[in-house]
Amino acid sequence: MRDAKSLGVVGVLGVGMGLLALTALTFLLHRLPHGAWSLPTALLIASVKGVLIATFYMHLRERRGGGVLILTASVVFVAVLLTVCILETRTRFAPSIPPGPFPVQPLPGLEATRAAPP
Amino acid sequence: MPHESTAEHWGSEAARAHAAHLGMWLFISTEVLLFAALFTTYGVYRSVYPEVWREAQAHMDVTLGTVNTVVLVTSSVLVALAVHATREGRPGTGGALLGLAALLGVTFLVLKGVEYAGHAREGGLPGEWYRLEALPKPGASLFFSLYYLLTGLHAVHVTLGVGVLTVLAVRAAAGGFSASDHTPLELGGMYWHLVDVIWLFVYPILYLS
Repeated sequence: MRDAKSLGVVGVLGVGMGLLALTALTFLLHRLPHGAWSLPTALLIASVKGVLIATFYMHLRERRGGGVLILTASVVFVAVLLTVCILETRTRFAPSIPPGPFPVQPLPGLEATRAAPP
Repeated sequence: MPHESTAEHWGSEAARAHAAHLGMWLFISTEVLLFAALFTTYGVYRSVYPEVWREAQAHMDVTLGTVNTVVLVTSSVLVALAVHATREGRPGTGGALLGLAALLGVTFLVLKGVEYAGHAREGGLPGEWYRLEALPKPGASLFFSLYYLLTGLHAVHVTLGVGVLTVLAVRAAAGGFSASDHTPLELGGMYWHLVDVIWLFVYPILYLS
């Protein structure tokens, strides 16, 4: 039973071709000389692909409402978490970031059971 | 067909399907937040060791990563076609397409295994097992630890997804779904699309940037 908002075969294949074209674009942009905007550009393209899949393949287009609200809330929370953590790290007083790496200290009483690296 | 008593409980089959989709979106949101913690860890350590991480990324196999991206995207298209075929009253075709999508999932895991073997050979291992002589710098072992965490957790999801697709393919081939009753197929497909979307973000941050 197909409702008016569900995609036909042509629509499904069209979205698929768009996804593959965007994947090719991501790869080709990577081959070009790239600088600081490389990662934001690649993530922007990934976001467009994610929106296409959620909208057309995960049925958000047909069932708006609860699903859109839940997904939007998740994405906002992820953005807040990422932004706050990275801002905090980038504005930290440099000497407070130790160089690392640090030897892993075994828990008290477990020194003998710690596996040796190969 | 849905049981009459179940449909009565929900008032209508449409209300039951709507509730099922809402529940699936809630599950998907927990998965998004699970991976968000790892993406945040990636962002923080990339800020601390920007140069070393760029050098470590040069040791990633971009070709295999790109092929795996195409494999997962293609499998997503097949799943969407399977849902469409079932809605049109052709569950047998839907089952065959789901079987092909599951095979592509297995292909993804095999290629990932090949990639892991290559890293292990050159010493790109996590934590204190890190032995990559070409990059003996602080921070590089953290990159590889996060690489294995992100791709490993994703591979677990792919494995579960292959299982889900296989069960759905068998049920579809056995006539378990119809044009009016295929909600499990849609929900299983949503899980597979989620696995695909997560990889679409893992791919650029680990292989390309």
